Amino acid sequence: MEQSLSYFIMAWTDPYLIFLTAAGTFAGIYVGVIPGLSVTMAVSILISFTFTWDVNEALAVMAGVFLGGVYGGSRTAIMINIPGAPAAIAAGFDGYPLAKLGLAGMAIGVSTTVSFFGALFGIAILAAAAPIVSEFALMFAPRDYLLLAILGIILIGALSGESLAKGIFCGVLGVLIGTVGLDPISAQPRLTFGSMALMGGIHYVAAMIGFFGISEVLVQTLDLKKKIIKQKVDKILPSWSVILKHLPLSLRCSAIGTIIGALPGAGGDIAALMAYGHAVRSVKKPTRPFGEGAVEGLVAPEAACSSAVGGAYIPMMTLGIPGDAVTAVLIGALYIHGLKPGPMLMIETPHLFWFTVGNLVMASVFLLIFGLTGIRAFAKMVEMPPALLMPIIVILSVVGTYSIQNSLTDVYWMLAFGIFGYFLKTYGFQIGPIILGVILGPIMDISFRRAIITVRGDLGDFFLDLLVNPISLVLTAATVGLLIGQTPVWKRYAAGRRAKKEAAAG
Amino acid sequence: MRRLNPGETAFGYLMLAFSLFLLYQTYKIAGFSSIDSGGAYPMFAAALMVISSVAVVIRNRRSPKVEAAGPAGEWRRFRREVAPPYPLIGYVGIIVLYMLLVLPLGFNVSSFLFLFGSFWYLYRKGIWLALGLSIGSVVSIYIVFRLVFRVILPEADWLDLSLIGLGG
Repeated sequence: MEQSLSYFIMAWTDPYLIFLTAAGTFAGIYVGVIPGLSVTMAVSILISFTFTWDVNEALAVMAGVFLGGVYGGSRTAIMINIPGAPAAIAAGFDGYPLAKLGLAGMAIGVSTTVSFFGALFGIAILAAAAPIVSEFALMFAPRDYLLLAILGIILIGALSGESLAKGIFCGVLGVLIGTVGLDPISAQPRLTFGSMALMGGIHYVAAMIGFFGISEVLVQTLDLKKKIIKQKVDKILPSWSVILKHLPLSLRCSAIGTIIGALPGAGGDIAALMAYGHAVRSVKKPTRPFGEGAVEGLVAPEAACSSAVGGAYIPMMTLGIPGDAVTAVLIGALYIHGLKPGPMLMIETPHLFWFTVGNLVMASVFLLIFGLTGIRAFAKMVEMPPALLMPIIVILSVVGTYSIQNSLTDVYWMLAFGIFGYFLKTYGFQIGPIILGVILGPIMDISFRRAIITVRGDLGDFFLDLLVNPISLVLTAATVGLLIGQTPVWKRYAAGRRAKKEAAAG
Repeated sequence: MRRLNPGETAFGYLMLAFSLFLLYQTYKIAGFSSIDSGGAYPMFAAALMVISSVAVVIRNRRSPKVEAAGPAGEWRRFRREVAPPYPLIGYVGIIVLYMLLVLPLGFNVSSFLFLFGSFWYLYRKGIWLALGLSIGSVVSIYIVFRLVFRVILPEADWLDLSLIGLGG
């Protein structure tokens, strides 16, 4: 315990680390503020610069960017009704009506404070739950990791896009990108087309930056003449009475956010939408009707999406399974720094875990500070024309990709993925599952092969194991249930039942 | 269901063809030799990709079609909405040119040319503003990444900044 505490405060005693966390949070908030620049994009470009750094320094920056970015998106959602990040979509439902009432300052103040408490809540759960989960995870067999990974891809595929088929297509595409190169077990070349350059595989950071950076630049290029509306914001410090009044709701929504964030494949965006739904159902007398500027409708999603950050770290640190696209990128960064996220991480390098927890707490404090100040700079950022911003993103993408292994081939891959990503986005495919697939692909590959080896190649025994072992059974049931729930047959059946119920009630 | 975007039907078929190609390529790795061979897992993934792209094609066929007069009309809308020559195709051209020039010209010079071209092409507020902005951006990027973060940037052989005491 004492040791954990000393690791925890490590981030608080080194001025350079404090500076890096602050800088990360600041960068995250302001990247999140810019519509179209997602946290995932910021983290993917940023991690490539940290490869040569000390691991603590890299972790400090990443924690800040993640937390700041998730929060930052809500500001534009409130002020101009353009969410800066997917997690902020729900914040616009009532935040923007508040801004139209001239209460943008109050809305930003409330959202910042609630985000701060939500983030702390999520981190507290992370600190309490992760050690338990990781001990539990030591009992996981390779097939359980396989199931968890499949579950993650299906979940993100089902929740993030317009159809499960597109989600699975993208997830599997990512898996295949991850298999290019030499087979990790038999060293057989796979999908290399006889090219030496492909033997080493396609670096996943090149794929991430291409899919999130360049493709977004191309999407934004089409929309250069977007008009930005100016808003006047004066007082943003919320009064204690407002905070205290909404504290119970924000605690409930933080709990929702942490749980959703901890699920593999679901992140802040879904947490925020679920929390909004919870608020609509549970708050009987909102300050104003929902959708017309109810403070509750802003408190709920903001608390949830910030607490989802702590939640998302749980499967990442204990299982090595990403909770969403951003944690997928973070896991990639940990690999590059020579760390292996998973149950052994807590045992072999407990200081990294407690250091991260300490860092996240510090990032939350900076979130509060930067969130309640610098409104003028924020207004300038929102007004920055995409025509000036996009070329800079291209340069950062090139620098980031090149610095992975000083290779221009990676840069060309990044561009190719960027153009491909543009078409995928245009036609309703989601990018998130691809990145999850790239990170989960190798985990699934090795888990699958190990699982098959343990049953000596007998497929019958493999399937039997899925049902006999309690952990595997729960995961199998969840996976199968989720798949069936997404089929058109089940959806029709469920819709039919709902209609019958409504007919009976009405 | 939303109305399809111009070119979406063709893209669906293209993705189906792409996944069939990948299925064939993954089959070539180890065939059906054994379930734990290096090829079985990618082949399973590619098969899943084929199935999901078939589902996408079927869904596309059921969705409301693009409002356009035949394939020629859809092509025109594709050229106007999805891949317009200005700014999209032109800008992709500029990015490609930049990436080809990084090696012969080095990072600083090629990035300056790229930024200058991009600002001029996208921002359209005159050549002097584009010049000033691109010089300012390249200098700040160089200071932040090369001097502060010590990131290695592509450098041209003929332009050795270390000679004048910069970089290294």
